[in-house]
Amino acid sequence: MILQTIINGLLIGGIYGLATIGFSMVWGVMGIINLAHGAYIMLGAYVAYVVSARFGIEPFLVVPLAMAALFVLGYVIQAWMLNRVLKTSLLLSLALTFGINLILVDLTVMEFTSDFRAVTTQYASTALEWGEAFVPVARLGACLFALALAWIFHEFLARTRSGQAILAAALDREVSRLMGINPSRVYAMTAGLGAALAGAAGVLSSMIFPVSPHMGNNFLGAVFVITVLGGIGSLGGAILAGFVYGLIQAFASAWLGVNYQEVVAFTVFLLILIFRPQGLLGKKYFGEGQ
Amino acid sequence: MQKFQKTGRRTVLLAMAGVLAMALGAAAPAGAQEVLKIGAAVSLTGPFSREGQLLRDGYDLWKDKVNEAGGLKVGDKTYRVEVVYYDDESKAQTSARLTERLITEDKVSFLFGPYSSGIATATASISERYKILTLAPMATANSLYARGYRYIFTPSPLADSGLNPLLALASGFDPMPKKVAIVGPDDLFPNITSDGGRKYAEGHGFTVVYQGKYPKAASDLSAVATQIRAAQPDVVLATGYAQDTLLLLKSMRELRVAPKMIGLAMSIGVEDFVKALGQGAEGMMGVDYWVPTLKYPDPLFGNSSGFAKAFEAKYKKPPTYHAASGAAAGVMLQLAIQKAGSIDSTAVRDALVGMQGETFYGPVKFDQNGVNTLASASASQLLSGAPKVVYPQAVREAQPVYPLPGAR
Repeated sequence: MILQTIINGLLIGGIYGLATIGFSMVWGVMGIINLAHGAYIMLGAYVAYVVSARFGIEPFLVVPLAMAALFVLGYVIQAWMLNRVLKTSLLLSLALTFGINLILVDLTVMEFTSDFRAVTTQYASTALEWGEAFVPVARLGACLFALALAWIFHEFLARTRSGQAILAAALDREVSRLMGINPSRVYAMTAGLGAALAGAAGVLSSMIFPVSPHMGNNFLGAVFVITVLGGIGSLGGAILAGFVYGLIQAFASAWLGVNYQEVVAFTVFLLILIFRPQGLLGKKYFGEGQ
Repeated sequence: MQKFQKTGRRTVLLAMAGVLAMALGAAAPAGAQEVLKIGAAVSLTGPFSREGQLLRDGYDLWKDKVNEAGGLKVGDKTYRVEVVYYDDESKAQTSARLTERLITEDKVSFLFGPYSSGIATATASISERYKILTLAPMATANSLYARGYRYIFTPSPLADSGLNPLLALASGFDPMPKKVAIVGPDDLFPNITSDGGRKYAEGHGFTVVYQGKYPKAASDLSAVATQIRAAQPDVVLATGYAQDTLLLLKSMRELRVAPKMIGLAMSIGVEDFVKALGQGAEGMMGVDYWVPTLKYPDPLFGNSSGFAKAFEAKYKKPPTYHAASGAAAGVMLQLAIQKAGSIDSTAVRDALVGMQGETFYGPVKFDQNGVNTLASASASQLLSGAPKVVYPQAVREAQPVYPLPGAR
């Protein structure tokens, strides 16, 4: 039972982590709390649903397509809308992303109705047996894939010029501009990549969760807590905190009852805010761009 | 310029006269009839949009059928029925506001209820205040009918009996399954259904080995599936809504929880399940307030197959119990109006109490609290991808498959 609980927590934690990276990075670099992030995840899941249901393609292979589509969407929304608002008031960005979320969700309802869909794979009901415990293959695959993507993204940030520019803008907006970095472009790039990662997380979660236009809202709460827990803008923090959050939820469910999983998770969130406001791996300057 | 303007005015006048004449002309044949207005705030958008639309389809089919038959005859008057719809956006506050508007501004004589007990709880206090009779076929929480309200009636069985058909069916299997797990989201209707199911199970020789609740918006239910597996039940009964039930079933499948019987407190005919679970849905059971094989006579539709045919002709799809309950609510209102010989809300309300009869939806007898004491539900099982009625035996379409293949 304990082993199964740990497995449950870790497997879901990987996906939570990947779902959080984009949100955390956008917050860290631009100070925007992107309330449309859940909708990006949802759209990724719909890309998987449409492609794999219509053409019978393995959901893992849909990830690049979903990432490309969401990158364009995230880039365009940032370049055409959010960049303008950034110059005025940060509060306005909350209202704007809230509105974008509503529009994306309602457009999906119009196109696909509110029906619940599912992406069913051939290995949906296969699981590896490990003593008393089961490791569902779909969840294991999704978790490993999420970690691989996170690692690739980490390498991108560390080794490419664009990645360095994003990190630089996160560290100090004014100085990065003096170093010849065009903030508008870097911001759009960051938003696009964040959306792409959300799209990837959406594809992976479509194999595990029912797909519906409102599914993103369930994610957003978790993503928010994990961002703060891991440290705003920290990639490693998001992954680590994703696992921690998954484990906390799993153990709270097992020991106190499933009804308490959110209570415990948000209690941890409050404790973090009180005792370690920069999060597990956060650095002080991240997210203080304003 | 002056002249031009004059012509313009005359043209407008002429056009207005024409429009007026056309309107009068159209109204003339109906002039002999009066209009009976009924109001309905149902969910056309939001999470309940699907169920709300099905319910509206049912109300609308009844209205059309009555008008086709020449309207509703009450004493020496004949009324053409009109239903005023508003979209409550699946929100209780909105529904309450719209209900007030239907009563005070649209001046409706009666109300058809919203989808879900939660929303009806908000609207019932308003219709009660204005003494406007409401038929609420899709609001079945026991609490709604235990408050002493006089103006809300439901033709459907109450929530606490939601699992009874499944448990009654299970008690007839040989060997009879012993261990039952009941699980559902922490919400008004599921909780009542869960507790009612537990009571019924314990009274009929079952042991409830697990009774669990999870938050309505839970993102992951693998913990619940793990707990169910540890309890090793023969029968798993789920009291939730489409989304969370789908998530639960997927998690159970991943963790290889394979009981001998899986039953849902909701209809297994809902397309989401069949589409989303594919082969995995095979053999699952669900509860329906109405199935097309019921054989009760109906004063308006003839019987269930008459209703099903009329529905398919109008909407090009087979009816669900949501739509059936809506149309049945209309038939019951019609019967009560004719019994009362008036469209006065209080007179019709008094006629409903004690009214006994049958509609295609089943037998009816209302008590003082607005409960149909003769209402019962059926159970269906997905066999080869299509829902087949397996309980009660009198209307059975197929032998139930038990235990499920692959049970462990």
